This record gives sequence, structure tokens and C-alpha cells, in this order.
Amino acid sequence: MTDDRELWDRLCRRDATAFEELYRTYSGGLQVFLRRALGSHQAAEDVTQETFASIWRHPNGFDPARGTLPSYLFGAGRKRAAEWWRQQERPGEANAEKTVDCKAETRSLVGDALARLTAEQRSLLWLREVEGQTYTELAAIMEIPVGTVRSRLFAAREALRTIWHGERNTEGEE
Amino acid sequence: MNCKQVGEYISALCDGERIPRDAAEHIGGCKTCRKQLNEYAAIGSELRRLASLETETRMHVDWMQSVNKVGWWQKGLTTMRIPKLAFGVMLIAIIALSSGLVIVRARAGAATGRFLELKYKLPPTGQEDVCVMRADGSQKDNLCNFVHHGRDGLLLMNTRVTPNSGNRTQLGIRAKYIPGAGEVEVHYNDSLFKDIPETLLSLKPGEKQEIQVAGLGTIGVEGEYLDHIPPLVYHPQQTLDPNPKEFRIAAPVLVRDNEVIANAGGGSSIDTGSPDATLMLYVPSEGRYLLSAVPFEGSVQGNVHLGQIAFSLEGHDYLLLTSMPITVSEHVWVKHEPDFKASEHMVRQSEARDDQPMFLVRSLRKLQQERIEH
Repeated sequence: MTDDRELWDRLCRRDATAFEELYRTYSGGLQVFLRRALGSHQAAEDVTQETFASIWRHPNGFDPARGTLPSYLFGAGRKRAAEWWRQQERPGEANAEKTVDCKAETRSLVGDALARLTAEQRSLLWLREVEGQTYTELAAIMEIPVGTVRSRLFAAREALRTIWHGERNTEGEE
Repeated sequence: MNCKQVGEYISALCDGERIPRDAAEHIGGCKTCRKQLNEYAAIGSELRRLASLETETRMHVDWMQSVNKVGWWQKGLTTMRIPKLAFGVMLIAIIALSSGLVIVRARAGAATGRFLELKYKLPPTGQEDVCVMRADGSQKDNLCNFVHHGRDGLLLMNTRVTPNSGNRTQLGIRAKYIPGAGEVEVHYNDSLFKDIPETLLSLKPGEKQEIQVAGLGTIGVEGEYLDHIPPLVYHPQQTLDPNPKEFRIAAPVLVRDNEVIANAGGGSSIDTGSPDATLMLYVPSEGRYLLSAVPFEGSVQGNVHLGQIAFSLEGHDYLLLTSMPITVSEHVWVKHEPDFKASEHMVRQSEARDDQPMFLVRSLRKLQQERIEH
């Protein structure tokens, strides 16, 4: 936490090395998360860069008392992703599976199944399982109560499990 | 409560959250719910695997040069490690206890992090030792500590990754050699290192550096970046699925009739070639349990499923849980020797303690000898 604050303070003082450190440390994870949330590699790259550019231009909003720096970044990225979806004028969940452009080597049953969840479910599951965000951090990132995090994570897992079972059974029949 | 009512708590349990006791009791006794929990855990593991693959595609070419390297690993058999990095896998199971429910699960850190595999070359033999740490600026899991029992002395090593500078990694290393203390029992704690000055090293992937340790000589240090946490932190070249001849254990927990009787903590042990590979799990006041890949006199059959072994012995139901698949075999053979005392059989002083759990995978033949060498 102290290091997060120190890094952020340097960023606020327009220290370019602090920004470089922030970008190098967190941009990869954010981009992978956004790729899942947006279903597009290119869009994820763009939104990642927009997120960091915005932070560099206007470094405000991070409060160490409310969460970690990665949590703040994922929250900022999620909001940018929501804006991106609005600009596309279509909800992400309906057509997400058509836009996922995973390379062949990174495709998997669970990846395909994930693409069929809603954008919020994908985000919640990814942030929890891959990034290890706590319920409190997820509540801050997603702007929902902690109790709702629990119920929506369950719904997301159950939806993914159902789809996954279906796909595995289908594959077995082929 | 019924299965439908506890569904949300199964998910919460998977995340390590506290759940109501009545939900815990239902889950503990319900095969369907336990299956659901394991499936949630498997989904999480798959997502992390997917993340690590995607991370690989975006890594800088300099980092990629180091990812696919091969087998330099020679584990120092006399090395005790203090793991600071969670195992990168998952599972494993739930245990119904009288006080509620416990989930035993080795949770990965962020799968999209950047990890440093650090190789030490120790004098005088050049024996290699390895640690895996986070190297992405995180202040979690960025430490590696170990105590090396050499022939003539004891080496204490403490390494931390400090914030990076470009493609170089800054290391802070504290090392101390204590001549004549090779068999001294060491209880690890941070104070061991408080008076040892820290040496700073700036390390680039593939570059060899050295540090001088008084009384011992020069320790070679070399680092490579990884894009994921290896399934076996101390055996980075190993995959999640065991090879046909492998028998391996990581952080085992032994449960008897819903009571945890041994939790051996971190660390792992592996045998890659013995046809009679066997786990010896020593439990204070319980003696030892031998779980072998082959039948042997006095043993009973146990069933293997991924990271779990279930068996019945002496009127009790046992479950051995580990954080990864153990063997490709479907069965092992188990024997309990309650009179076994570590102090009477273990050659190494640090293992000859009757009051601490200990585990080791070796050939059955070696484990049945009067004096057991690690």
C-alpha cells in the first residue's frame, strides 16, 4: 500500500519514470483483462492506452484507503471499456462471441465459454480468478455492493459451468 | 439447507470467503456440492492458464527468449526452502470439520504477472539452486529465502526483488555463511538476516552476476523471466500434468475422518524415474504413512484422482490432498507404520525431528532402509 501511494504521489508530481513503472507493471494485466471484457485484441490495446493516457493527463481518483492501485486501474479500465461499448452502440454480451479474435494457440473451451457470458460476468470472473481481486476490491471496481459481488460471482460461475459442460459434451459427441 | 440454497456459498467458499455453518455442513456432506466446488476451482485454474497463454503473446521479445529454456535443474537435496510464492495451480478440496468447513487451496497470484526464475550456483561444487519470485513491481511474493545445509556449513540466503529499471531487475541479496554449522537446526525467521548487509545486484535476463560471501566464496546468480507461475515452483520445468513415470507431492494435507492430522505446508518432492516411487509422510505422534506406486507387503489399495488420494485403513477413511495431480496412475498402495520415529531413521539432523511433519518422495526400497537419506 505504501509503495502504491509513493508511486502515485510521484505520478502526481509528473514524474515520467513513475508513469513508466506504472505502465510496465500493470498495462499487461489490464490489457489481457480488457481483451476478455471487450472481445477484441485491438480494442483492448486502444482502451488500455486511453486508460493510461487519461491517468497521466489527470492523475486523480486513486485513494489508497479505498483499495490498491491495481484495483483502481482495473476500475478505470472497466469504465473506459463501458464507454467503448456505448460508442459501438451495441451491448457486449449479445455478440461477444463473434468478436473474440483469440489466436488459435490461446483458444480453449473455457475461453470460448467465457466469451458467451455477459460483459459484467466476464469481468468479475477474470478479475477474481486471474487477477486475484478481493470481494471488497471487486465491489469498488464494479461499483456494486460486496454482497452483490458474491451473488453475481456465483451466477457467473454457474453460467460458465453450464456452458462449459455443454461444450464438453458437444465435443465428446463429435 | 439444500443444494440450491448453498450454491452461492460454494462459490464464496471457492474464493476463500467465510460461509454460514449450516451451509458448510451441507457442502461437507454432499457429493454433488463438492463436485460443484471442484468444478468451480477447475474453471478458475483454466482461466489462469488461459491468462498465462495470452500473456505470452504480448510479452516483449527479450523476455520471450528466456521462456522456453530447458532443463538445467538439479535440485539440491540438502536444501530447505521457505516458499513465499503461492503455487500456481489450484484445487483442491474441502474438509468438513466439527468447527465448520475449510477449503484447502493453493491460490495463484495474478497469473498475468511477470516472474523471475533465479538460479544460484553455490560453491564449492557449483551446485545449482533455484527460486521463483514475482518481478513486476509487486510487493507480494517478491521474496525468496532459503537455508542451504552444505557439507561444512550453513548458508542463509534472502533475496528480494526491488522495483525494476527497464529490462533489468534489481535484487537485494543478504547472504551469510556459518562454517561448521551444516547440521544445525535452523528455525527460519526474518531476524536471521537483520544484521546481514544487503548486496544490490542489477540483473538482466541471461546475464551472470556474482556475489561474495565471507567464508564461502563466490555465488553465481543468473535470472530468467517467466510469463507464468510454474505449477511446481521449485521445479519450474515441470508441467501441471505428471509424466507417466512421475510421482510428486506438493504441500500435502492428510485428513482422517474429517479431521486434519497433517498439514505439511509448502514445498514439494518429486521422483521422476523410480518404478517404486513412494511418498513417505511423517506425522508427529502418528508415525509414517507410505503411499507407493506399487503394491508392497501390508499395504492396502488407495484411489487417485488428480490431486487427491482416498483410502481406508484401520477402520478410518483417509483423504490425502495436494495442490496438483500426483501421478497418472489410478491407484496407489498405502501402509501406516505408527511406531516409526523420524529421530530413529532420518540421517539428516534437520529431518530427524519427532515433533514436525515431514514428507519425502523416494523409491520404496530406499524408504524401507533402516537409515533414510534425503
